[in-house]
Amino acid sequence: MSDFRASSEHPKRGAEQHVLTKQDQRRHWFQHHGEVAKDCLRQWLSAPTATLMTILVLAVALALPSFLFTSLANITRLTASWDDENKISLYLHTDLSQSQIESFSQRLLLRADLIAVDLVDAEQGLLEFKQYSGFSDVLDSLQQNPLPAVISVLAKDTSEQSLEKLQQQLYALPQVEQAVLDLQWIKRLNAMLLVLQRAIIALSLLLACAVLLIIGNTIRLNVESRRDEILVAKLMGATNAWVRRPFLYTGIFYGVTASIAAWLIIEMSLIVMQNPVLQLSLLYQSNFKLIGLGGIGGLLLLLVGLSLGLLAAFISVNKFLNQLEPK
Amino acid sequence: MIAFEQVSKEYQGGYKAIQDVSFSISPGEMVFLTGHSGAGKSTVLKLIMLMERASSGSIAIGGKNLAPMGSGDIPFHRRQIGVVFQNHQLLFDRSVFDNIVLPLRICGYDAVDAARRVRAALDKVGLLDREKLNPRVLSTGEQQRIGIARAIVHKPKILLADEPTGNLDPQLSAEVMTLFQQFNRIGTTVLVASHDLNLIRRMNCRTLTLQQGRLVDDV
Repeated sequence: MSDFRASSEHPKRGAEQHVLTKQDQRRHWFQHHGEVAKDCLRQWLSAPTATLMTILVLAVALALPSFLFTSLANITRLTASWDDENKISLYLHTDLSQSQIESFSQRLLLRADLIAVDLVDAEQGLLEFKQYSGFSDVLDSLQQNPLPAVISVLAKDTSEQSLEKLQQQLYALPQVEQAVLDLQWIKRLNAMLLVLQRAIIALSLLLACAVLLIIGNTIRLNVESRRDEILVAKLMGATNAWVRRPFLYTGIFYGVTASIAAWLIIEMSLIVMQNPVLQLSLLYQSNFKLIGLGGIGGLLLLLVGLSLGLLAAFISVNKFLNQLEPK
Repeated sequence: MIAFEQVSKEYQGGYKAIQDVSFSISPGEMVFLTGHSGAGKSTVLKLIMLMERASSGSIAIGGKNLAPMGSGDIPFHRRQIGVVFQNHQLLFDRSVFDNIVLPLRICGYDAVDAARRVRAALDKVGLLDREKLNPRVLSTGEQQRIGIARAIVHKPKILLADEPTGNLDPQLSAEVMTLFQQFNRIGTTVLVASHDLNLIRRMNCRTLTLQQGRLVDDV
C-alpha cells in the first residue's frame, strides 16, 4: 500500500526479466537437451549393474522376434528359388516301350498350353534316385527298375484353375498313370510359412508389450525417486515438456542400447550357425547362405527400440504429470 | 495485481475451504493473510498459483483471468510468481547454487547470466559464502533464506509466502520479514500467509483475516 509510487517506477524492470528472445529460447532449448543427456548418462553410470541387467532383459525381448523374423526370411528366400509353381509331373505307365514314351513326349511338345516338356526316362530316374537317396545298394538288388518314366511339363497359364483343368486333361490321357501338380505342396509350404509368420508377429507384439512395460516401469521408479524435484519445478513454472525431457532421454537410451545389444546377439548366433548351415546346404548341392538382419533390418530394430523406449517414457511421465494438473 | 471476486473452493466430499472471498491487491502492495489453521490461507495461495481451481467466482492475476488458462498456460502464469514454503522445499540432492538456479533454468536463462543472478540473490539474503554447500548442512533459518533466494531469483512480479516463519525463532522471523519488505520496496507485490499475529502487528501492513473460509476482516 505504502509503495504505490515505487511500483509505478519499476514495472519496466519487471517486464524485462520475463522476456526472452526467440534466439535465447532456442539456444536454451539445445543447452537443456545437452545437460539432460549428460545427466542421464551420469545417472546410468552411477548404477551400472542395474542398468546393464535391464538392458540385457530388453535385448533378449527384442532379439527373439528379430531372430525369428530373420530365420523366416531365410526360409522364404530358400523356397523362393523353387519357381515351379506351374509344373505338372506326369508319371507314365511302366508297360510303355521307350519309343511309345518318346512319341508321347513329342506329341506333348506340340500342345499350345505347355511351354516346356522334360522327359526323364526310367533309367535316368533310377540313376538320379540312387545318387541322391543313398539307397543304391537296395536298388541294385532289385531285378527290375521300379520307377516309371516321368515327363515334367510347364503350363503356360499359371492360374490355379487352369492348372487344375490341365492336370485333369493330362491325367485322362491313356499313357499317364498319375499327374501330380507340384503346386500343391508348395502351396502347403507357403501356407505353413504364413501361419508361422503370423505366429511370429503375435509373439513380437507380446514382446514389444513386455519391452514397453519394462522400460515404463523403470521410468516410473525413476519418476518416483525424483518426485520432489518435479513438484518443485512444476511450481516454478516448468512446462510438462521440460519435466518430461530427462525421462524421454532415459527411455530412448534404454531402447537404443537394448536394440544394439539385440543386434549383437542375433549377429553372433548367425555366425555360430553359419558353418553348420553351409555344410548342410553343401550336402544338398546348394550354395545357400544365411543372411543376417542387414542394414535395413538393423535400422528397423533400432527404430523399434527407440520408439518403444520413447513411448514407454512418455506414458509413465504423463501419468504422473496428469496427477499434478489443478482440479 | 491479485483480484478475487466471490471465490469459493469446495473439495471433493463437500468440504468448503473458502467461501465467497473477495479482495483486491494492487501492484506493489504488501499484504498479510491471517487466520487459524484450516481457515483457508493455503487454499488462497494455491488458487493464485493455479495448483487448484476455484469452484466458483473469478480470480485475476496481473489482469488475467485464471479460469480459461489451460495446462499449457499454467507454467507461464507461475513464472511471474515466486513462492516461499513453510518447509522450504529445498532439494537435498544438489548444492545451494543448483537449488537457486532451478527457476532460472526453467525460464531459460543463459548459464552465465543465471550464475550472476544466483549470486545476487544469495548476496541479498546474506548467504553468498554458502553457494557450494548442500542445503542439508545449513540451519533452519539459513534454509528458509535459501528458499527465499530461490523464490526471488527470477525477480517475480508477485511473491507468495506460506507460513514463512513457522519454524523460526522471533529474531529470525523478523529478519525474514525485513527481506520481504526489501523486495516489496523494489516493486514486488508480496502476500504472506501467517498466523503469527504479533509479527503481523509489528509490520503494520494491510491484513486480510480469514475465519472458517470467509473473509472477516480487511484492514
